[in-house]
Amino acid sequence: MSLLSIEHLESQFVTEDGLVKAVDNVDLEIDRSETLGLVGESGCGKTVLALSILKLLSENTKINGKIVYKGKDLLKLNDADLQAIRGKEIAHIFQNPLNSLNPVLSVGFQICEPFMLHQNARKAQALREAVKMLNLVGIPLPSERAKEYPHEFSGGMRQRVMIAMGLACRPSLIIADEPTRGLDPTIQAQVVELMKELIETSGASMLLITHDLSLAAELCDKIAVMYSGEILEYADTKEFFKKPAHPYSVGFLESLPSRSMKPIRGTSLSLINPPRGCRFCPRCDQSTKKCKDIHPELKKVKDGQFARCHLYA
Amino acid sequence: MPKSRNVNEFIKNKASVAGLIIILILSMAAIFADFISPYSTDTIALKEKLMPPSFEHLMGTDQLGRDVLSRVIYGTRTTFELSIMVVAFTATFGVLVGIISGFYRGIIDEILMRLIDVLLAFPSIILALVVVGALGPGIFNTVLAVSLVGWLYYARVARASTLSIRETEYVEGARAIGCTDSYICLHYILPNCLPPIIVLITLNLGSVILTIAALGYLGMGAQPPTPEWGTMLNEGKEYLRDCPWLSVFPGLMIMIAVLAFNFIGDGLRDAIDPRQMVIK
Amino acid sequence: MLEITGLKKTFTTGFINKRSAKAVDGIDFCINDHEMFGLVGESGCGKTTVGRLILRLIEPTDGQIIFNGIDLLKLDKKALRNIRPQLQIIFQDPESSLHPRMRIGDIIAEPLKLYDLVSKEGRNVKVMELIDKVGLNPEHINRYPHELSGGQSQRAMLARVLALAPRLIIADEPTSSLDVSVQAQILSLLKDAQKEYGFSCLFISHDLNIIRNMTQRMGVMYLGKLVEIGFTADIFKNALHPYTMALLSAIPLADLLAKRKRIILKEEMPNRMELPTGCRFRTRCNFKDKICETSAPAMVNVGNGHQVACHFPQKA
Repeated sequence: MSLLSIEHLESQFVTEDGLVKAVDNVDLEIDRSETLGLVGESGCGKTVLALSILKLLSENTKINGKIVYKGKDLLKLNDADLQAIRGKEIAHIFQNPLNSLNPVLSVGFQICEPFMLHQNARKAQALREAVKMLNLVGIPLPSERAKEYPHEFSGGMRQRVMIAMGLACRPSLIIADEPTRGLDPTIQAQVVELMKELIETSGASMLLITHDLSLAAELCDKIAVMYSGEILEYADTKEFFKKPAHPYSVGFLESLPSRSMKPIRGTSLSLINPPRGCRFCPRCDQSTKKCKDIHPELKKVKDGQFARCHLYA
Repeated sequence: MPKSRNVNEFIKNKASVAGLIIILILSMAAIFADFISPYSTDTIALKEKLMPPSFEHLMGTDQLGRDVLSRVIYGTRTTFELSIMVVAFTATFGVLVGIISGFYRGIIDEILMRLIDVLLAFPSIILALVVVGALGPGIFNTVLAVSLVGWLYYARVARASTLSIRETEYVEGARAIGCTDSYICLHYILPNCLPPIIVLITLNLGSVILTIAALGYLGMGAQPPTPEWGTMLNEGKEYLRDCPWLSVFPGLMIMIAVLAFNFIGDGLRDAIDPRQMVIK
Repeated sequence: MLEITGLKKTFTTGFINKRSAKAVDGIDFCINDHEMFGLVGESGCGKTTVGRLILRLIEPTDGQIIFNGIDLLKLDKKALRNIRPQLQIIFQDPESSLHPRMRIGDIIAEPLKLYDLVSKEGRNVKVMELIDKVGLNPEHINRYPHELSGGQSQRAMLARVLALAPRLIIADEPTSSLDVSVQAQILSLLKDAQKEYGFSCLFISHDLNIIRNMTQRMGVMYLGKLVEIGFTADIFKNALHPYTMALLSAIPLADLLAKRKRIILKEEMPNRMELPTGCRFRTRCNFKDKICETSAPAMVNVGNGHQVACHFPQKA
């Protein structure tokens, strides 16, 4: 049963160099209690896609398409209705907790905010809930630490605080943007275990944005690989890692330090004026003339795996 | 240097561009004063004294029959020469002190900073008056007096920039390849200090012009018959009620020049603002 | 080729209430010719400081750094300057490690100019050579650092460092700021450069997979001390220190679907200014005992160059 359905989504920026198509005609679906991993290198458009869902982008963006959540098209909602959904039904956990937490407000207060906003809780009660959340995410001595400020927490702790803020109102959908970036390996391990536990117990769905394939492997039921604003491959996690279909997916996996660290040649193209044919063609070792001229569509490779590649047309 | 983006930002700011055009016009006037000035500045024609603005004398004549417009034009030259001299001295000396203080830190830094704190506590115009009072009026002494306190601001700004630049990795990299301290100060610290210094120079020019004019008005600056806007204000103050043009025009010039420099400075500051980061 | 003994660095803050943090608290290791030595640890362990201490960009508080028989800490300013070309460093963040107001070509030529190694024409030739070696295009010579991507900037950094043909390069997390797709390119470039120029390299990183791919020997640091040293292959196969084991269990595996049992460490790293007594890892260790509170374990050689500092080294 589909919880979130993204149809023909286009997010474009007007810049002085031209029109940037950060998200170019993307279709995605997330079911209830399902985790989808959106994977790709930086600049591929995954963060823009995530921000488009709750319309958190700046004014010079144009969003077209449909984002249907529980039957309602989010892009057509007025501000008040969208406000009611943000934080309560759909929570967005931002990258980089150091920049995303307000440095002059105590951590406890920041976790109180969603309670006070969405559940009309009074401050005292909200604070009690906030302390409960801090405990849930594994922060020791939660009632004392709730009074402290973000800079008094370490990177891993701040990430947990962000997770606490996100889960406060028991949302049905969590959008987690690079939740483990910049964290030390042992801390990453702690955070990943925590997220696994919380997702299981709360039954929420999650859209995980990451460039870390191993994280996606551990947390996600399905994987969508994004490149240059498009989805190149969409598959069940098991199928994907057993045998990735798209040449980019194959190259991406091989370039990881845990594998052979074989680099993909070339660099990704600018998002302004994308080429006519396949966008990965210039860097692909299996490209043909068809790839240069004709833009491939997303086609089924087998049950549970789709790829945007002429190899499977 | 991110030149093109800065220039574009600056151009978008209409006030700054207006300021720039005004200063360019004034500079041209100062340089080509000999050619564009209708009369000479010291021709005394008592028969034509205190005449209001007319076709022959666009800004009227003063108490000695001299053409006010010509004096204003030559006054531009005087004012600009003086201010540029002051700023050149103070900026050079201040930046040097600031960089040395910020780069080496330690006891040198402590002493210099305390010295600056003490000097900044004095009201600068009074200090300038004291110096001129002691040494006597005149152009050179004016420059000296105004410069005495002016360098402090440059030192502070240069020191602040130096402190942050010396911690950067590219300076570390320079030390790693074996650059000497003086090389680093000259090629690494100084060029990166320049943006805020340039902004300070433009804003400072405005206030230096004001200070020089103030000294001139108090009779302590450029002495008659040298045409200088402040001095002209001083000469014109007795005739303020009946012949306002003697004071209005020089006063207007001071205001326009200072305003123009301030606009340029503001525009530069916004354009150079490092907040114009590209979103990756 | 490089021998470090008892290297220490203590940072003190404050004039009146002096507080000190021992960033590096007595480490010993050595790097051989043509070798890549990996230095691993998490943030706050002191590995970055070690890199800078070796180059004397920060002055050590104590210890010896013997480079090809010369004690670097005994050199005066002039002698140090003369030896600097042989010891170079590549930083983590390419955007802040290149002079923002110099063109790439000038940045790469600067070391040549400084030591007057070649004539002006010779310099241009050398710069073109280096540009080509690191995979940049000739048009990049006239660009400014902010006009290059992260990967390109890092290549430029490498070109500049190679200009002096150093004997030892410290690579301080050279790919941590780069996007994952570019990491592999830069690391493979570094490997090729090492084969060609024959320098030794101290490769500092927190990513164990990269260390496994790049280095022959490695050392693991925790809170200013080395806890395990040895051949990379040995340590991966048979890590002895509980901290090393936890680190290894946290890294992504080649088979991303394999179920694995992670070792989750308790708590967080202690504050550097209030270190635990005895073994400093004991607050997070799953194998500790009484002795760990009272005495800090010494580094013990268990054979084949494998050393560990633990009272209860774990056998696989």
